[in-house]
Amino acid sequence: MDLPGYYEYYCGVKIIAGHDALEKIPGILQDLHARRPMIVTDKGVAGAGLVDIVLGAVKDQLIIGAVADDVPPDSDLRVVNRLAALYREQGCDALIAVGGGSVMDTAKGINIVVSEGADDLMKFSGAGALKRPLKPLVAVPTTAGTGSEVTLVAVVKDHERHLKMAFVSYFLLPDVSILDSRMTLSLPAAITAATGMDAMTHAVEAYYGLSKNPLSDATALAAIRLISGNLVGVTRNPSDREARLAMANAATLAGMAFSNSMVGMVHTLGHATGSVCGVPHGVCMAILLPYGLEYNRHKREDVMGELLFPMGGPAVFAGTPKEQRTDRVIAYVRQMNQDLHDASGGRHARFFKEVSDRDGKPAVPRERLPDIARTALGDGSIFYNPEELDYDDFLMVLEAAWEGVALDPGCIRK
Amino acid sequence: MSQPQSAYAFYSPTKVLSGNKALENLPVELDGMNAVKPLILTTPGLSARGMEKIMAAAFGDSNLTIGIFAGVPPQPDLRLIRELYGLYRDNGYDAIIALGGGPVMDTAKTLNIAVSGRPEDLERLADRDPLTKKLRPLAAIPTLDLSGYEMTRYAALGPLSLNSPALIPDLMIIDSRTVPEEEHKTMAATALMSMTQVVEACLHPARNLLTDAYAYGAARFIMENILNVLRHPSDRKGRLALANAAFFAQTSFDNLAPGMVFELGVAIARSCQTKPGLVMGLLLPHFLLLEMRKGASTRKDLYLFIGGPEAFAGTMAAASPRKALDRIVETLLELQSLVPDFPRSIRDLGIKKEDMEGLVAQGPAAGVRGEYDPQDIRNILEKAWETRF
Repeated sequence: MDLPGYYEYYCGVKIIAGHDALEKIPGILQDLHARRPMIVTDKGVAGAGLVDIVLGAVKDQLIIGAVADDVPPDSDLRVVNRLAALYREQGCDALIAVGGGSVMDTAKGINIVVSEGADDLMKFSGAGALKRPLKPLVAVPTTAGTGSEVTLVAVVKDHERHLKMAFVSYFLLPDVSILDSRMTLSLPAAITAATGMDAMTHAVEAYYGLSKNPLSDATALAAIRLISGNLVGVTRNPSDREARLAMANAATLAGMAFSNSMVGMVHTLGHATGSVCGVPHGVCMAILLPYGLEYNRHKREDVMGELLFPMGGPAVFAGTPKEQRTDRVIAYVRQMNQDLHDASGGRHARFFKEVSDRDGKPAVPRERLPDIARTALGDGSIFYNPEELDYDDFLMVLEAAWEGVALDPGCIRK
Repeated sequence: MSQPQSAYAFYSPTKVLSGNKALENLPVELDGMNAVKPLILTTPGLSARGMEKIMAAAFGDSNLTIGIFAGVPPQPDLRLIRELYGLYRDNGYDAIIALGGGPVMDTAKTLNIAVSGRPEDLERLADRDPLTKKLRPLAAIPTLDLSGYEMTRYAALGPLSLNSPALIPDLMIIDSRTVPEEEHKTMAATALMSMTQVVEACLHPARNLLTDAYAYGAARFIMENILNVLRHPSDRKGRLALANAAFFAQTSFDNLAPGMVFELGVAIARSCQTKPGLVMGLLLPHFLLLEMRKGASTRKDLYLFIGGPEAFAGTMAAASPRKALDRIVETLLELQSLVPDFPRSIRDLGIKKEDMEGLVAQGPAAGVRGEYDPQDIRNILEKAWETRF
């Protein structure tokens, strides 16, 4: 295991996992000296009955100050302010965020407002603006992918002023994250597959990236082993509780890994594709991951080869000569996308030309690829990618990912 | 293969800074915790080795005012805490930096309870009143002369035995300047203690994905570096890896309960005035043999931790637990050849046969708190007494 010349690592979030982890919430809040939490969630999560499960798990032991179930799919400053007002009116003293990325971001935003008495959230954007602990925040993720239950970032959009505010602080980390298999049992196959590959990408990019460290390595390896062993199976058989819990654990482990190292070009291109074409993040990650491996392999051949152990298991690892391991790793990720495609009845996209929008039209028209490549140039995540990319490189990768063909090794920088 | 527990809790609140010039980042980190006037605690020994100068140089152009107390003895007591409490309060310090191993950390954790509330809080804690309140910022700068408890929730001071997650340091700095070469025996003992924490965490019935992840990092660093560091103590990177390993091992250990070998090692070392890690190293192979005989509880992939993926994948599954044991024994033998007067059995430490029976009989009173089968304890102690490695 490699020790870098310098590294930092922090994840002060307490992790509580299990098939009945939600039942621990009252005790956790008591330890945090809170007795009247507000639940923050969205309509989809509430409609799937997940808030009822949470309420059922804490009933008789906890007074819920308010349930706010109208967080939009995209975090919104007005919603943050409105829910902060509700929190105050109802005399709440803690937050329970039940949902995915937008719910977590919104809850973190509310927490800044109610803890700092802020009327202008903007004052607290950027790094280092928060100086003291906020109100207790308990995160209950309902997808197994983003890892935002262990990340210190929140993005809140001001739709009126067309601004995207980013908040970065250790004080934004939830105090506790609850990983309970019941929260992901009803996740549809395609979303299970895409969010699972999001977690896979976090772990893989963290492992071969330039700012890896021993703890991001250890958590990434564990995440990759769990995803390789469970994702295809749980996409095929959604009610497998053990596999659901394994994926929830994997997403958190991958979140610890990437938030303490960095991600690279797969995220750069994924952010750009999401912003230009509105494609869900996990879908982009799944499609682009093989290309991140191919494009960077000449710089990280040995490190990538090590991933065959958690992906394929000891027998495959031992049976593959060292110089062929990276090939096997790339083939393994492609095969996983194929298996997820089959397990989801064709709904998991393998390449961009297969992605369709809600009306069934192609979501990523080929002629938009130059726009995506241009947008990618402005994304900071490229800084930690092992090999450099310019516009032409981005476009070359996008073309291949659109068509679903391997990169031409002759076209990669050396 | 037995699986890790599906239900678990894991907590590691320490921020790690490790490597080149890590020390220089301490002022910024303290500032992030609203601290500008830390009190540094260390030992006369470390002070004599120039640690104060190194710290002062690293803090050079920051706005920090630092205080230094370099008189932490090997066995700190409550009188020292009262003295330090006065010093801290009178000078308006707002954070503690603990530079050194066990006694310094025990002092720092105990002092932190006193300065974060009232000194009487200490007495209440000893009455097992749980401490849930956040304490003042505490930074740890550990060396390679460790007790095994530094980065954990445990602190012991004289008769006082404390245990609260609030005691875990907020920050840990590992910098080659503050991880100096120690005597061979000390470095070997620390590595063997970390190894014991790793192996016992790996075999613990309540182990989970995160205790496994930390144990894995620790085991790889120890096995890849311990012999090199003893052959070439100037290997700075190797020493840093061992200091990292000690933290990973302690974090894994802290999220489970202490194991039998660890507790026996501490108890025996206390009675014969030696380093606990040396005793643990001598007990560990016998413990593993016993576990293997019991069969069911031994995990098949222990050798992945001890030998690494390449060696593990190249070994037949049935032979794998045995290989793990062999590698540990080989390492122990190598250490014995590299370290002057390394004990070959616990008999060499001056333990008498009747002392062992006393340890088995006393159990918890001797500090062996877990519920172990007395027959297992007797078996391991006898083997470690009779066998000379």
